[in-house]
Amino acid sequence: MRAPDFVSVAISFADGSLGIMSFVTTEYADNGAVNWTRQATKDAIDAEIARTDFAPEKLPIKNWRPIDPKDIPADRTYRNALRDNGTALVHDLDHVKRIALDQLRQERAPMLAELDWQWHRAMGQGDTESAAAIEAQRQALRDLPVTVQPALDGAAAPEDVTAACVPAIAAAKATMAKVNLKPGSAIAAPLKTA
Amino acid sequence: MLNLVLSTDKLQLITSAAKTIDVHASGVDDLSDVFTPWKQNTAISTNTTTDIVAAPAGGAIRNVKFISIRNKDAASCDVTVQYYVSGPTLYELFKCTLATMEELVCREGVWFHFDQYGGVYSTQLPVGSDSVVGGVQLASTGDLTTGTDVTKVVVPGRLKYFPGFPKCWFSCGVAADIQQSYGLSSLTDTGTGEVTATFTTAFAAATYSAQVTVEMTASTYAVANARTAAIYTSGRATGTVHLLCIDHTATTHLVKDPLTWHAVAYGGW
Repeated sequence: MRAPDFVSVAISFADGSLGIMSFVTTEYADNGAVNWTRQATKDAIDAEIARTDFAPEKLPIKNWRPIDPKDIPADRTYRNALRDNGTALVHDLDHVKRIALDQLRQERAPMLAELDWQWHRAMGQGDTESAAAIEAQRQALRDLPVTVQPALDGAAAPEDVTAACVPAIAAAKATMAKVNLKPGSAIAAPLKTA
Repeated sequence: MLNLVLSTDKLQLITSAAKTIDVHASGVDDLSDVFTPWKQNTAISTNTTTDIVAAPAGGAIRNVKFISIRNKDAASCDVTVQYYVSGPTLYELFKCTLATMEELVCREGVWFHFDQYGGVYSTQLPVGSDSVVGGVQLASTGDLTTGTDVTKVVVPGRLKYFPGFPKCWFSCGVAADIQQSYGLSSLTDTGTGEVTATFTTAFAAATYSAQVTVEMTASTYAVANARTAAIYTSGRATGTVHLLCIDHTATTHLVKDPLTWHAVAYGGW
């Protein structure tokens, strides 16, 4: 079945977010016949936007304009930071940094949870040396947003933000694996049962 | 062939109401092989029984070749043509309702009922069914909406009105790039893991049923790749539905993009 023809429209919402509407201009039947068609006129797009029930927190709509689909960034890592400056879709760098820090915290959360139970187990088994090493790792994880902040402050593009955060979280994961495999540690042995 | 053979045989017309009816009859009398044409015009305006073809002379055979009974009135009228035999004995030949400007014609003994445009009413077929061969009627939009009739036939352009027919469906990529669709007016990517679909025709109520699913981001079944799609809380309006997608990470369940979206909506218009 042939895909419908559509026109891409960038919609700027009052909350700063950006919607990208695919405004259908022609729908086709299985045999390629036209089911229905319409022109992407200003009035038609206005009407379509008006009848679309967007989330209330986004409203009202500030403005919209047709865009070339080729101008929509393919990389959606920082999709929610996209803005329309009137001539191109660009990233709001402050928003990009917030997204990157949120993602860093999200990646960190399961590692902290893992280290928490390892620390409790080490302490429960009297392995204070391992517990101290785990605690050091936990603190490093807690400090991660602060650690990457200088690099974020110097970032001038989304790629710079990615370069600041991705290696940091990868290094944290690698360090955590070493802590977990400490030779001779009680936490490397099978769990003792009664 | 319609013949009057006795000097008491005649044709009569009964009209059910005082309507303006014109009658013309013509034919040939045969008296000992002497053929004589005849005609008889009658204007009727009362509800009565009127002789429209008089009895032949004694010994003659009156061959009625043509009769025209036309309702000139603005309202319809029931007409009955009967064969009167002395006694009197009556034989009903033809009975019908003539709507305004309609005409009943007897041509060489064969009756035709013409509509006001000159078309002839044909024999009405029985209503076709599972067991009866007969005529069929197209199902109307209302028939499709009700969805209970078992005698009418569905035409493709109205199938969409059946309650069990999806009113809208689509598949698309993460940036609202529509792959295939039906009944979709527009699709808006409103953020990571969120799309808003606008239907070509709005539902009658926001209680319609929408199903949505998404494609995993990788074929390996891992929480990082799995996605769960949902309708946003209170995300159904009559003309639009707001969908979102979350990942399966145990501690966060974050809104994330799928690989592709797939949705369908059922309900009444």
